[in-house]
Amino acid sequence: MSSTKGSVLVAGASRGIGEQIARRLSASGYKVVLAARSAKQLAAIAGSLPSAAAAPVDFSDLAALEGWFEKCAAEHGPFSGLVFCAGVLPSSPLKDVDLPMLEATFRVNAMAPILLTKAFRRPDAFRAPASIVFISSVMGIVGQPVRTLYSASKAAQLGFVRSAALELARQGIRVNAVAPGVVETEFTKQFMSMLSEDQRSAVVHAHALGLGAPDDVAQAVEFLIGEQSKWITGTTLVVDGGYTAK
Amino acid sequence: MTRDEMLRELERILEKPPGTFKGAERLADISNWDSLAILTFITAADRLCSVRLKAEQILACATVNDLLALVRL
Repeated sequence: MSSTKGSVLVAGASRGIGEQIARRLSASGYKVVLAARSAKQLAAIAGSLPSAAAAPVDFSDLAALEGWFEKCAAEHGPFSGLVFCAGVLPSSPLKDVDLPMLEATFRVNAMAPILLTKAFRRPDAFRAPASIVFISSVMGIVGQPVRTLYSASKAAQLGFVRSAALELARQGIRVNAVAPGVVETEFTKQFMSMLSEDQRSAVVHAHALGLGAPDDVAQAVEFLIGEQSKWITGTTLVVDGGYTAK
Repeated sequence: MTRDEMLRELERILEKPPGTFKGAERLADISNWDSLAILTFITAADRLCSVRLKAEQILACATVNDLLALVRL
């Protein structure tokens, strides 16, 4: 499979924002390699795109991650981009946080993207100019009750992005993050269903432009992956409908 | 999950000593019964009883017994 714009690995592409990112990049002419746990879901999405492949993986299995990426790069690379959109969304008050919950959150939300970036920077895995984009969250910038672990793990991504950008610039790799506000996906609908009508209304009204759609984030990712953003690295693009503006 | 175990879970959520709740207590009279406690009870109901609740169902409850009825205890 060849593509004029190169290959982009989209981690967490089986649903929601990640799926839409894969669809948008594919429509723009990139070859997309879809990674997530669900092989069946990935195969269905890949089958609906003109130039796509599925590469199932469990992002919580950190010991296997670099080996998986190496194999994936040999088969589908070299990559011109990596988008990390996989994540877990724990909702728990701090008094109920335990070590397994802490580890599970940081494994997928913080450690996996770090290990993938480390694997991506190997000379045979990417083709410069390359771009890495992490899908973080406004929760990495501002706080919210019951979101302590999620906030901490997303803030970890933002710190990593800044230093990795400086370190990888010499290799022609840019590293940035997108920080979305609440986007309407199955992921967030599950949480919203636990809120009262008043609380749901408060969440919506906290976004001056209303809740986001997956494609609002995908468009920002397309920009950061593409050459229009060639002088942008180490930054976080907030895509939140005004959530953090107040 | 038994009724007594859920009462103990509710005490844990609200940081009350074991044995505090019998069932007839009015939620409006319980300190710490707030939006955070409601959210925690919803996640506990899902995790321990496999019952998915919405906040409106909790807000319609007047007593601890009403909460237990939501999770069929």
